[in-house]
Amino acid sequence: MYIGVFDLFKVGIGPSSSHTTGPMRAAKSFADQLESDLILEDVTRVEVDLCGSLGATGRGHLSPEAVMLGLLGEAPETVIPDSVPSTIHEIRSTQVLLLGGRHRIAFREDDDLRMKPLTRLSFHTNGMVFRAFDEGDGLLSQRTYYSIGGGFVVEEGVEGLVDEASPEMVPHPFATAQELLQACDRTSRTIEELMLQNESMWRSRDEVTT
Amino acid sequence: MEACIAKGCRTSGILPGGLRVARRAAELQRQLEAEASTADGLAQMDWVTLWALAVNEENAAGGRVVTAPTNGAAGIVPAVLKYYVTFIDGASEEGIITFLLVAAAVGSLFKQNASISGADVGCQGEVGAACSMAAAGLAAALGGSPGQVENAAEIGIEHHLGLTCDPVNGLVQIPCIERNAVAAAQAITAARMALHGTGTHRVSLDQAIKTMKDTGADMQDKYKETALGGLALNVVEC
Ligand code: SF4
Repeated sequence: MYIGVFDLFKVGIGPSSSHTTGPMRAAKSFADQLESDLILEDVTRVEVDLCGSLGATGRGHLSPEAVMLGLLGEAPETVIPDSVPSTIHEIRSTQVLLLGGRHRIAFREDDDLRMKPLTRLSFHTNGMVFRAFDEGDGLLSQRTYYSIGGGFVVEEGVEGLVDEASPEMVPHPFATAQELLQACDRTSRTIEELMLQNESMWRSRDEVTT
Repeated sequence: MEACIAKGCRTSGILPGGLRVARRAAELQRQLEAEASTADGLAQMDWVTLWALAVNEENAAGGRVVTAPTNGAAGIVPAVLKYYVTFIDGASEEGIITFLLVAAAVGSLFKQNASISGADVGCQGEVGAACSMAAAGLAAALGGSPGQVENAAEIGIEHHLGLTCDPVNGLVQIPCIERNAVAAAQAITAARMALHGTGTHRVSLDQAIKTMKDTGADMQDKYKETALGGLALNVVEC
């Protein structure tokens, strides 16, 4: 898997990429999926478990706030940090959340957002389970995500990163520093020249360099 | 990155979360500007410290930052990049691009072969990886050969191996904010050390990254962003 410049230098909100940016991206992906599965409007309640390290230190890292923002459909790149406190305050005081930015559901943080520090999911300690229920409390959808560091998120049972285009084909693939140095040797180019060519596969040069 | 540094340098006060950690960047900037005329040979380092603190204080306050490669370690790459822009004669736009491309190349090596998550391998994967990325970026921007760049990256991570993640109260403040400033200085040292060598060296970057992964696997969970060990245990709230 090729990981490019823009995957690593992502705009995120503080304080933690794995505990804030990642959960926000996971929650947004869950809301987006409900929308694309055409079941968003049937949802009356959403339940979220933050497991392992997220459950242990999530409060200090603003993970609950990040999850709420994500459910609203906010993305780490575009959310306006200064508006976050009032948005969160409104959800907490009205106990209402606009799922995917448009569908009203009741959301009682104390019951619906649960910290489970002792639950360690198999794949990675930063596990998150999202469930959506309909009026009769029937389970509409359940998805498990992992925040694997740096704001990267993967979904259980799904290949690749959530929300990240990662084309496999680049002119100079490398998995280790040795391969990278060999590629430099072979092509008599510098590391930055190879990287620029890789990035240019799916972005214009100007886009890469701004 | 630039905007985040500027905002961090302007803002003072107490960081949220209850530890009552004071923001230091704004006051430090005032001091550094006042001392501007003194002939202290290491004054540049103080500025690097300032920039790193500024970014991480912004991060701790929930502000907007650029992950590099993570939020907790987001101060190192921008601080070292700004060192290049501010203090290197002949610094150029091209140099900045080189810096970021190479830093990303190194970051992708960590991501592919180990981890950049404190919850996975401890702080070596966050601050250690960021230091390695910044060291490589700077070495490349200063014209280092691929071998020297790889050497810089290797020095940058080697001396963070084993570093635990033990944030007090689970907040990304202690040790994180200061640690970024110290690692930025280490990145500059690593780049300069590598540039004074030929690029041939004993430990390869791949070996260091593998060591980081193995060490992380052996590390107890209490040192992986759980706030259950280390400083988090011994620094109690008063
Ligand atoms: S101590 Fe933990 S939270 Fe702080 S910078 Fe290091 S890895 Fe991130």
